[in-house]
Amino acid sequence: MKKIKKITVLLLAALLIFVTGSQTVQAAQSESYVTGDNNYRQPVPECYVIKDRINNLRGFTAGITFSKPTDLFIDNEDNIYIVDTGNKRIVKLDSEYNAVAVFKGPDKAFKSPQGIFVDDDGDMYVSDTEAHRIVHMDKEGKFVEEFLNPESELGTGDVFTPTKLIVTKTGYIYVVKGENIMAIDGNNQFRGFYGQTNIGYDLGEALFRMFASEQQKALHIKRLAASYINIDYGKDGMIYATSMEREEGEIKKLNSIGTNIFRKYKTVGNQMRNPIEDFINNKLLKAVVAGQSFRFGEYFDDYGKYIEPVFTDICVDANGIVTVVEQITGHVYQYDQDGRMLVAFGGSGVKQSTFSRPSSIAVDSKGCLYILDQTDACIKVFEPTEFIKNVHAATSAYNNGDYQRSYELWKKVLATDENYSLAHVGITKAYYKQGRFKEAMEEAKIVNDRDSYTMAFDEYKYQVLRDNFFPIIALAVAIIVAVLLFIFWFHKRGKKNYWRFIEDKSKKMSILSGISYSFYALFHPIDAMEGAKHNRDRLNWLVPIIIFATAFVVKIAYLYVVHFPLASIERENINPMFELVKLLIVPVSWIPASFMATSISGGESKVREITFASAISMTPFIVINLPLMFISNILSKTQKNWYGVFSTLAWVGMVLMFFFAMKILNTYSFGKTIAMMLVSAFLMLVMWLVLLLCYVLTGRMIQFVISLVEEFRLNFL
Amino acid sequence: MVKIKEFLKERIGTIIFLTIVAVLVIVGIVSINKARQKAITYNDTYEAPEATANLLDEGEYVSIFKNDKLELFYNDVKGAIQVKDLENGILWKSIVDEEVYSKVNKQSKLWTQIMNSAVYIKYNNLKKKDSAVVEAYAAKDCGYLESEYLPNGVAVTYGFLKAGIYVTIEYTIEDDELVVRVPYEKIREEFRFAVSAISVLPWLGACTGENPGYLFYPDGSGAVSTFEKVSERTSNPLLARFYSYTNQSVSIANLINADNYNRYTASMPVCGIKNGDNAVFSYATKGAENSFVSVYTSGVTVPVNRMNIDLQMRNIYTVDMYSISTGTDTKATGGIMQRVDKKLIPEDKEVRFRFLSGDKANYSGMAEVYRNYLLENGLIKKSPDTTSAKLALTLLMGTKKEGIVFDEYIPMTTYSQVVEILEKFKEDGIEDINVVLEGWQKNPEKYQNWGPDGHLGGTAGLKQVSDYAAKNLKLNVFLQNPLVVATSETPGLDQEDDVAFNGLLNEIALENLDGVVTFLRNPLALTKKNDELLKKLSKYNGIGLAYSDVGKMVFPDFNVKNSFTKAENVAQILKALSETEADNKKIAVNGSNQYILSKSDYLYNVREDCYGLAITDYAVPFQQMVFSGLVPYASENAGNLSYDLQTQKLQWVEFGSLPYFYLTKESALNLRGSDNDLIFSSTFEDWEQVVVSTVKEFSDRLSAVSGRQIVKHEVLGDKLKRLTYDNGIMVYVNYDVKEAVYEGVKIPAKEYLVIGGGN
Repeated sequence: MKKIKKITVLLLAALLIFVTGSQTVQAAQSESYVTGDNNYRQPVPECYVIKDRINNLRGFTAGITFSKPTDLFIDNEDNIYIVDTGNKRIVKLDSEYNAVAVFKGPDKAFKSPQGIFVDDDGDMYVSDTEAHRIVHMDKEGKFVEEFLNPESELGTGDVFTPTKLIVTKTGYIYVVKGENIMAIDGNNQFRGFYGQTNIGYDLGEALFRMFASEQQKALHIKRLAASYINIDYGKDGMIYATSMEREEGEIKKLNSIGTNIFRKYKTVGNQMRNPIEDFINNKLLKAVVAGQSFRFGEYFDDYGKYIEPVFTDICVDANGIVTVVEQITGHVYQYDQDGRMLVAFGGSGVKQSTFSRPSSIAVDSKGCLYILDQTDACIKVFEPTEFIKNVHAATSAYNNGDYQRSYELWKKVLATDENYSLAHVGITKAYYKQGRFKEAMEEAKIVNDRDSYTMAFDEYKYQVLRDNFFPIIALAVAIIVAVLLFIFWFHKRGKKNYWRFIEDKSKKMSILSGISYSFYALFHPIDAMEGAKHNRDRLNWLVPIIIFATAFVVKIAYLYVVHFPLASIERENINPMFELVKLLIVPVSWIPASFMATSISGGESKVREITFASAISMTPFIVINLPLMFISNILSKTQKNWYGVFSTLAWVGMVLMFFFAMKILNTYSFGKTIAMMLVSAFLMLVMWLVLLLCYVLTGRMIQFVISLVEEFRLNFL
Repeated sequence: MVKIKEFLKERIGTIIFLTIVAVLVIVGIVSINKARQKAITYNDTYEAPEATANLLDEGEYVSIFKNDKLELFYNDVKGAIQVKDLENGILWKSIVDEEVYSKVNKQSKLWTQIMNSAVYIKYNNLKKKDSAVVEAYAAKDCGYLESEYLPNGVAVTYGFLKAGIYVTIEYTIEDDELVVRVPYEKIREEFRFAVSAISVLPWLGACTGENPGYLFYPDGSGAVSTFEKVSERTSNPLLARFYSYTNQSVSIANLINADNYNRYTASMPVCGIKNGDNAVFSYATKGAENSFVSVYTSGVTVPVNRMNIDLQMRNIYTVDMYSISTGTDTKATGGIMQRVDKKLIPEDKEVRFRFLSGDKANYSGMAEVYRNYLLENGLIKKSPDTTSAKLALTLLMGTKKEGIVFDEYIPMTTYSQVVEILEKFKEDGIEDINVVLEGWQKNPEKYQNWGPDGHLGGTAGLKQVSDYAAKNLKLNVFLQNPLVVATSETPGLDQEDDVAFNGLLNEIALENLDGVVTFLRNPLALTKKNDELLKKLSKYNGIGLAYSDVGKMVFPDFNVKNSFTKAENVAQILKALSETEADNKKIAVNGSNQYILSKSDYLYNVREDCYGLAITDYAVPFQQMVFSGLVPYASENAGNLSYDLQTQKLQWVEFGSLPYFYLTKESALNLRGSDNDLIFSSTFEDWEQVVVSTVKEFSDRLSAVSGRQIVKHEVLGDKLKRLTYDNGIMVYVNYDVKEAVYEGVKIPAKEYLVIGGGN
């Protein structure tokens, strides 16, 4: 599944890279974008423009260039501090980017400074990694104190190699230490590990621990939480951090007890769970709803290659706007207070606005972003445009509860960019607050915001229900009665056709009779399978084909008609061929697999009736999904469990039909039926594997021969 | 019989397998033999003669020609020249002599030799194909030197004996220019090495930057690297190269991807160095299509600012060989192979150097030289619409969104809505509009050239627009057409004869994930396609043609049936445009490559910036100074797609562009997820009043300079620019958020100020 996701993302990315001629014209307009939940890049107006590039110490004549700088900090007065690691110094620039001081170490020279934090008084805390200490200097660069490895029973006695750090108002130093952030108090005392990611429960690990010998346990590598990369201290007193943690999310906002309260991919728990219960809860009872694939950053680079992002640094401004810089692609991603992407820009390259290897990011009081490029040894200064300033103001107004102001600002944003997704979300929320539910729904739909849509839809639904209670109830009763009557009539007709087919041995099954037969099978699967078994020569080949085709049509119609918040896939991402394969791969490959399995174990079924049975096993899918797609239009995401139950019923019905088919067509016992179903399923997997292998190997061979001939040809040119 | 049947039945798998293998082997052998017959040949028995020249010897410069403006000196021992500007006595040297060399830190022996070379060549080893391209320098590798004196100069033959390559270069004076020619017939290759590029006078004008000055190069609209900012830039600057018209490596991605395209392409083959009060400006005049500008700011290996026009003599290709050995080395196991054209590109090359001083010694003076060259040689025409045009508009008519089963067509502006929009603008007092209609035809994504889309009103709709345009003489309506780019789905495209091939005899193509292949059209097919289109449009008198790709894409085509060099391709493009001109249709061109200036009535998507390399300090409107007052032009940045309209307006003013908007009648929300999703804001209702007020503002405040020539552009401060027009009117442009004051003139924040005009 992960692989499929990777491939899908890759394909999407590759599509983005290929631009058509007509698009080339506009491509130069803006290089900023936002990504939606499906990783689609939506262009937005330019949000940051390059303001300056600081390559060296302006105002100095000697030692003016930076060497492998690793960290950056901006204090309350917009002074810029650069950890110039290669030159073993700290450089201080004023807000006009003139170098005003160079610190080479207070009591002794820095060995390898790699992190800096400056407090409200201008005091500097520098991580001198190779000197294994944190040095506290006053604003003049004079030695105040040093922090060495604090002693603790929790194993901090490892070599102390501090890198990125912050100092909170309480005087605690928080320093990144592998999978933890270590807290040290003002007396150099260890105050605990902070913010470790929950690694969750692993059944394999538990079994290993249960059965492994002590020696094996000693050799076994411990499962560790993902490492932290960098931290920043927000004005709200929260610690913002980036990590390599892929389960919960790479960007974290840690509260005072170290709990991540930022937007999460999912919550990782530590308690042991029942995997079957998990499966039932997460897969069967919950409908899979589109728009749940949110990720921080992007999982592919500009060339479509899969990557796992490494956010080397994070900064947060006074309003809680979070900006991170990604090292592999050089992109800068910015998120609002709730973790929704505001903009992405930058990238790798030789332009002034792109990076070779960004290593640090900081923001000043005017909202300018300063990004340190380690390879190019420079700082690139980006100035916010009016557009992104409006976006920031709108999100902040909303977070402060000023919905009207937020609404006005979002309108302003939309005046520049009609398609800016977050503005539509903001407007949706404003409409919702104003009780304009229908308009809220329309706004939410524009940007595929299913949560906001659901909120508005539920209110709208109740409003409509309240206003039209009796007509709606009457209509519902009428529909239910009509459906029941239809089922009754169709069942009766199916029964009649079934018995006519069974009794009149002279005729082959007609198409109509076959369809009616398959419906009858829904209520009388045992009779239907018996009938197929004893009349195999009279079964009509066209009937299974028509049923499979109907199932496919229902599937596609379902994807199109199902209510927006419950759709399992975005409409634009629907691939009919892929849906066809997904739907029919099991029932179709079941036919040879089942035939093979039963042939060697006393089975009586032949291909014809297996095919027929496999096809009629699709009827629960057709019969349930056909009305469900329409009924879903009065349900929303909050009722997705109910919806999920019906959706699951269809699949359970199909499995039961397969069970009856296997049992009755082969006259197996209950136990043997189960066993043979498992064998068939295994054979099915083997078949897929062999086919895949053949496909890959044949492709490779053809590719090799073609490239060989081509290379010979080119060699002679 | 039965036995045979049984045998076949039993061995059917083996038989099929062997048959496939046999077919593959036969096809392989035939292909390889065909390739072998066409393989490049070379003399492998060459023995390098004894060297008779040493270009590091001092020798002496002797005056060989003089007119009233310039004097040419030649050193027949070094094979180097010097040119004296008789107006101011400045001596321009072709190599770095001791006088200059002593000012920079002494470099290695190799760099001494390089800096003493008036000529470099690059060549490839035809036998050892996996070997790297070799660069040879006159003062290091030239063992043979022959001088033939001409009436106004000298022809010098440089013999690179080890490589067996002899190159003759003519240095002559013509009026106030130094002209350097490389005659194609006089290049000799006697061994297994093939010359791929020649750099002539790479050190002419080179300087250490002790005087104020800059390097000017053709990046985007033109770009400048000043000498005084060297210390503020990175200490390890990179060499920058800009290839005339098209990136050296021709691929669909390099042509279509805006970033790739902008990084390496130059619209005009020009460059210049300003050093104090003097400047040298060089421009390619023959073989310009195969030239490129190399920019070395101080710090690229040596602390000298320099740049030159390089001449590409052959196309080079890089091929990855994974399966077979490509080299002669016993250890060679495959890898990257260099492939060059069998023959030299059959054209003479010519580069002209103009020496400027005083007020003219800047990029504005250079633009004037180039503009005059183009005018004198009929390479640019004066459009009658230059002074009248007030607004540049692109209307997106239709696009595509991928649907569940079928793609969904999104009509954005129907033909009748086009008329409605134009009528509304007319009511608002805007009549002089250049409108490009994009996506007007069926299947625009398939690069179809003809067939007004039925969703938009079909042929009747187009007729309606045509009639409307015919009635409104101030209005120019252009239908945008792709002539170069086509796909495997383009109706009528013959994927053998109609498409372009690279030198590896493969189609220049890119297969998309959905299996659609993008091609470039063969120049002959291009002209045919244009003829067909003109026939179809014969009934629509009021309509002109907007060419979306001929002004941006030119490439050599090795199609075996109809091969074209880049220059021949340019000729075909011009032929097609001449046909359009002959049909009395106006011509709009996307882009501003020099060769289309002689045929264009309107240029759109003209760049107003540069790529933004770390060495670049700012962009300048060099191109705009060349064609301002001759042809109306619009920028590639639409006002409605800008993050700040006021900044965009200032940029239009600074570059002398028409105000430009990209609009649709229907809401831009419809474009989400479509082929045109880059258009995030375009709805006519939302933008109408903005457009009207912008045009009125420009008409009111800039009427005195509308359609006039920009003669000077100056950068007065980081965010303050000044333009001077040919009528003496000056326009200050202040991008800063605070008021600027210059020589007593106050320019409000984020505003422009016209001095002496209708302000």
